[in-house]
Amino acid sequence: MAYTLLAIGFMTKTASLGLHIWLPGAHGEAESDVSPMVSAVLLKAGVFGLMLLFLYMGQQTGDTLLFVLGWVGAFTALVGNLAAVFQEDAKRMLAYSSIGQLGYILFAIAMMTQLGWLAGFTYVINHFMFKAILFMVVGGIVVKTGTHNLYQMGGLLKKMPFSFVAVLIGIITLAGIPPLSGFAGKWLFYNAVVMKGWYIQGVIVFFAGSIAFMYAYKLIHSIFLGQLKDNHRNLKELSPAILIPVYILIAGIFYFSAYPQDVLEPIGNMLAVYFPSTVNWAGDGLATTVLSHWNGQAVLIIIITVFVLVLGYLKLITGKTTKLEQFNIAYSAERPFRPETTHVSYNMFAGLNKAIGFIVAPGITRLWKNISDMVLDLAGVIRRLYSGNGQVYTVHIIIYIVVFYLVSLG
Amino acid sequence: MDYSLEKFLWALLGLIIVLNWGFLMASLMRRIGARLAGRIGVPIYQPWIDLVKMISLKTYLSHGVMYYIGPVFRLVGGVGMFLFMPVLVGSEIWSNYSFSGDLILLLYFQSFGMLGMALGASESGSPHASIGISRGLSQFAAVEVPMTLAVIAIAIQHQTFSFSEILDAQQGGIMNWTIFTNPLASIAGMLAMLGAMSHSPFNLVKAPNEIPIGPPTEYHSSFLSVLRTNSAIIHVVEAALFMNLFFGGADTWYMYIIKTFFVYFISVFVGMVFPRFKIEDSVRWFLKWPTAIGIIAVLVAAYWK
Repeated sequence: MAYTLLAIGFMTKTASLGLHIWLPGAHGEAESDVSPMVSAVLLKAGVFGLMLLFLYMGQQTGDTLLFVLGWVGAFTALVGNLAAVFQEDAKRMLAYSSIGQLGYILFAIAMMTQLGWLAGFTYVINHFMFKAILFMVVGGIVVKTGTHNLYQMGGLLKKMPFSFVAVLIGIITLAGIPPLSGFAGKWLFYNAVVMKGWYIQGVIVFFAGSIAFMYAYKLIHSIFLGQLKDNHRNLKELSPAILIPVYILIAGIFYFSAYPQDVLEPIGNMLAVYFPSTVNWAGDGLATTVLSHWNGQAVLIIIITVFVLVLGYLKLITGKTTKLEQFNIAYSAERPFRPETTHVSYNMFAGLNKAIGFIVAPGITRLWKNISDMVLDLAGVIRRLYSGNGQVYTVHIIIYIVVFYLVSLG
Repeated sequence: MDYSLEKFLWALLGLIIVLNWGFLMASLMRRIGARLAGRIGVPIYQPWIDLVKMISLKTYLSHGVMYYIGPVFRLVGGVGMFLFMPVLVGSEIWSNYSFSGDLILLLYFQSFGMLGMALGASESGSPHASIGISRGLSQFAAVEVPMTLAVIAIAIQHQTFSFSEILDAQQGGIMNWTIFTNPLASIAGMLAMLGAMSHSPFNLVKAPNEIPIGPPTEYHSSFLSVLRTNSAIIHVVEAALFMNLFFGGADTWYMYIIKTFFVYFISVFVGMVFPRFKIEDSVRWFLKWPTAIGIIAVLVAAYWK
C-alpha cells in the first residue's frame, strides 16, 4: 500500500496516464528557454524516484504493482503519442510526446530486468538529448514566427537550414530509426519484452513507437517543408546562442550512436549487482543477447557508405538542375491559390483520427475536472458552516461541548 | 566484421541480380494483371526501357536540397534492407552484412527510406505528396501491429530474432516451415504483408486517380529512375523477408526467385480481386482481424513455449 502510494506520487511527476493532465499545459505554455529544462531534465526526477522505489521494494513484494505499472506505462505511451499526433500546437505536441516517452521508460523499468532497465536508461539518455534539441529549436522558431500553431508555419527550411538538420536528427532519434541511437533503445526493448514475457503490452508500446513516427513527420513537415508563408519571408536562421548547445547535443547523439557500448556497458555492469546479466558487449561494438545481436557501429558505417555511393550515383546521372519557384508544382492542371491553402498541416492525419481517434478523447481530463468540481461544491457546503462570523463559531463550540457531554454520559 | 572488397563485390552482384529480377517480376505482374482485364499488357522488357528513358531525359528540376536527396534516402533504405538480410540459407558468400543486426534492425530500417522520401516529397510543397504521406504513415503504423505480433510469436517459438537461426529451424522438409509450425503467426504476418506491399486494396497511398501517385508526384527523370530502382529492389526484398520468416527461405537462387515470385504474387492476386479501401477503413481493418489473429498467435506461442 505504501509502495503504491509512493509510486503514484512519482508517477505524477512522470505524467503517467491518469496523472498526465498537468504536463501539456505546463510544458507547452512555458517560456521557450525553460521548456527544454523542464522536459529534458526535470521529468527524470520522477524516473529516479521510481527506480529507487523499485530497488527498495524488490521484485517479489511488488510483483502485482509492477505488472500494473507495466500496463499503465504501455497505455501512457500509446495515448501520449496518439494525442501528440492530433496536436496543432508545436510545443504541446512535444509535451504530449514527453508523456509518451515517459510511458516507455515506466514500462521499461517496471520490467525489473537488466535489459529492461538498460532500455529505460537508453530512453532516458536519448530523451534528454533529442527532447532538449527539439524544444530549443522549436521554441526558438515559435519566438521568431510569433505563433505556436504548426499550420501557420511552413517552408522554413530555406531560411533555417541548420535548425532543420537539428530537428531531423532529433526526430530520427525519437522514432528509433537506425542508424542513430534511438534504435539502441528499441533493440534492447524487443529483447527485454520477449525475455520478460510481457508480449501484448510490448506490442502496444511498439505500436506507440510507429505512431511517434507520424507526429515526428508532422512536426518537421509543418515547420520546415511545404509552403512558405508570406509573413515569414524575411525570417533569418536562429541565433548561435541556441544552435551551439543544440549542436553539442547532436554530437552527443552521434557519439552514443557510434559507440553505444561506451555508455551502456558501464551501466549494465552497475545493474548486474541487482539483476542477472543478460547482454554482452564485444570490443567492436557488437551487442549480443540470447535472442539477438546488433552492431551499432557496423550499421552506421554501412549506411554512411551506401548513402555516399547512392548520392554519387544520383549526381552522376543528374545534370545541372534548374531551381523551381515555390508554386511551381504539379497541381491537377491548376495553379495553387495561396500558401495557406496549399500547405497540408491542419488535421493532417484525419483518416487515423476517424479510425482510432476515440482513444485520445479527453475522458481523463473530464474525470479530473468533475473531481475538482465536486471538491469545489463540497467546499461550498463546508463554507456555509465556516462563515467567518464569530457568533456561528461560538455556536459550533457549544454544540461540540453538548455533544461531547452526551457522548461521555453514555 | 568483414568489410573486405570481396564481400562488397558479392553483395553488389546480389544487388544487381535482385534489381533485374525485380524489374522482370514487375513486368510479369503487369502482364498477368492485363490478361485478367482482357488486354495483352506491356512487353516483358518495359521496365528497363522506362529506366533508360528516365535516365536519358535532360530536364532536371529541383525544389531544394532535401528534395534532391529524398530519393537517395529511399534507395539507401531499399539497399540497406537487402544488405542486412542473408540472401541464401547457410551460405557465407551470400550472407551479406547480416552480422550487423537481425530482424529487429530490419523492422526499424524500413522507416529509414520512408522518412527520407517523405521529407523530400514534402519539400516540393505539393499537397498531393503530403496527403499521400499522411495516409501512408497512418497505414504503416496500423500494419506494424500485426507484423510485430507475428514477429514476436516467431521469436517466442524459436527463441531468437536472428535470421540464420530462424532459417535453420525451418530446414529439412516443407513441414518445418513456419507456415505449418506456426500457422496463426504466419496468417497475421501475411495479412500484414498485403499492407506492406501497398497493392490494392491498400494502395491509397499512391491512389493514381485522386492524388496523382502521391509522394513521388513531383519526381521526374533521374530522380524517378532512382525511385523505380528502389521499388524493384524493395518488392523483392520484402517478399524475401516474408519468405525467410514463413516459407523456409531459399538455399539456391532458383528457389529464391520462385519463392519471392509466389509471395509477391499473393499480394498482387489480392489486389486484382479487391477494390481500394479508404484510409480509415484500412487502419480499422488492420487493427481488427490481423491483430486479433496475431494476439492469439502470441498467446498460443507463449502457452506452448
